[in-house]
Amino acid sequence: MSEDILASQSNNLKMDPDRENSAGDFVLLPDWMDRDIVYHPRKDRDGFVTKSVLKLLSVFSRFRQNSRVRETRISVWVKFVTVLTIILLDALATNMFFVYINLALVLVLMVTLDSKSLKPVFFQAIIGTAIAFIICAPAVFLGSGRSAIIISSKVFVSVSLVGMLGYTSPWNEITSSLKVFHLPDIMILTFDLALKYILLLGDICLNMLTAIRLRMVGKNESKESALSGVLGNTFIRSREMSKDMYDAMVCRGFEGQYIKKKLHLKKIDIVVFVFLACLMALFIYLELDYAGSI
Amino acid sequence: MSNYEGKIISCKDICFAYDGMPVLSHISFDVMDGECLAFMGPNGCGKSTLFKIINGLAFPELGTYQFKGKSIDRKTLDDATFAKVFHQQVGFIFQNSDLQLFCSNVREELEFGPVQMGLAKEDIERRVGDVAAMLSLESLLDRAPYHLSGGEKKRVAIGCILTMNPQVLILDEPLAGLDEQSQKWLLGFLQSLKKSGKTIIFATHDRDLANSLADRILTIDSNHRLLGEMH
Repeated sequence: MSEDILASQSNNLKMDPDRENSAGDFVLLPDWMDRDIVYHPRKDRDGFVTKSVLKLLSVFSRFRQNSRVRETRISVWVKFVTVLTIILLDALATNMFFVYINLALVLVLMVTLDSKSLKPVFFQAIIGTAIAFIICAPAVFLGSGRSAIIISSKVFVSVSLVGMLGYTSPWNEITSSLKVFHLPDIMILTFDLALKYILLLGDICLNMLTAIRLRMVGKNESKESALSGVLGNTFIRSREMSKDMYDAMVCRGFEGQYIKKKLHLKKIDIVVFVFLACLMALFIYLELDYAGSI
Repeated sequence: MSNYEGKIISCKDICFAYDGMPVLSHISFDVMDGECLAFMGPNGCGKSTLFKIINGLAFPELGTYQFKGKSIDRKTLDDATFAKVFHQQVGFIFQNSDLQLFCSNVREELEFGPVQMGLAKEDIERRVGDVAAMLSLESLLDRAPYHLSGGEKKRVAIGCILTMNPQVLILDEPLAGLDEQSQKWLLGFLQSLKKSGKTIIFATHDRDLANSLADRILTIDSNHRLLGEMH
């Protein structure tokens, strides 16, 4: 656009925001703005924006659902420790019986889930198990069918337990549970902030993609430029936000130390730990028994 | 678009909920061609969700929404050609202008819509020039949007919608984050657009803005119901 054209138009149209305007001080609209056009858009393959928006929406919906997770009576850190221990025992188990007990336990726990959580947890576990079985398939043909079944069962147990933990516990409490393993509090804070900013920056991305979608009213010859604009702006916003966050923390007296509150043990948690101890005892007994039989 | 007898937007008994939590409850209203309508109500009453529905970004669980007599739902907007015409005719200006700007400079922002519409180069330049002049953006054309002030970003956000020449302008909290001078300027500008025959729908907490600009003011209460209207 040449400066001359702009200048000539400015004389007619300009309405200076730096100037006080009264109610009667109207801007003159260009003639093309007065005309209603019959617009026939050109065809374009622009499904990527809609698909990106839908994908982001599903991820956010998962995040938001997690923030409204129904509190279970068992403390999250106890669930976290229990899940990790069972996964570890299950992975180490060489006795089929122990694996089957864990499988039965997982199926019983799944029954207690509400339908909204059950569906994704079950499907994730099934997909994981199917992939594991496909990878182990050659073993079946080489005469080690038992190994393929054990590994697939172990994958089902592990993926289901992690899924159930994720769907029944707020993520900020899962990160807090890391304190059990004596992780520094500042590291837990970093995890918490990472989760928070995934949501915030994702929200920014989603809004920008929505803005693009609303303005994609025809054929876009440079889709990659619009997409890189979203990524670039999100990066700039993330830098600004991290600086603002640090400044806010300094204003609130942050000096590099972050102290997380201690974890408490409830009565139901003791019951869970007793159950876990029984499971560990069973594991040791079955493993010793299995080793003796060889 | 079919014959709509002046009713450019018609919402009947619209209900919407997020994960079972009601956000809009039995909202019905019509907007006539060239009318200026204000929505007021407390935070969280559902104004922004209603605007998403009007822009085809969300769909009511109950009730119907018609634009120029044509029902707007998931199925009609699955037709890419119709969706593009609809989005060209309904311009949405976000509350946070930052989220609306994604190009590397202001000129590209203003050109984005007209380029997509397949206008001739001269027409695009004319539109960009006119809008830049109207909104006093000439000196900002080669600057990156994220380097601009809040008021400048708002002007660019309005400009990038105006270059598409939509029939309906929807503004979510247009005065939010603007200083007094920018607010006065924007009020005058919206009055000009209204005078030119554009249909304007906006949400605001500012009673003065609603009184001075809107033909009708609709209020949504904290129970997500339409309370009634003021003329």
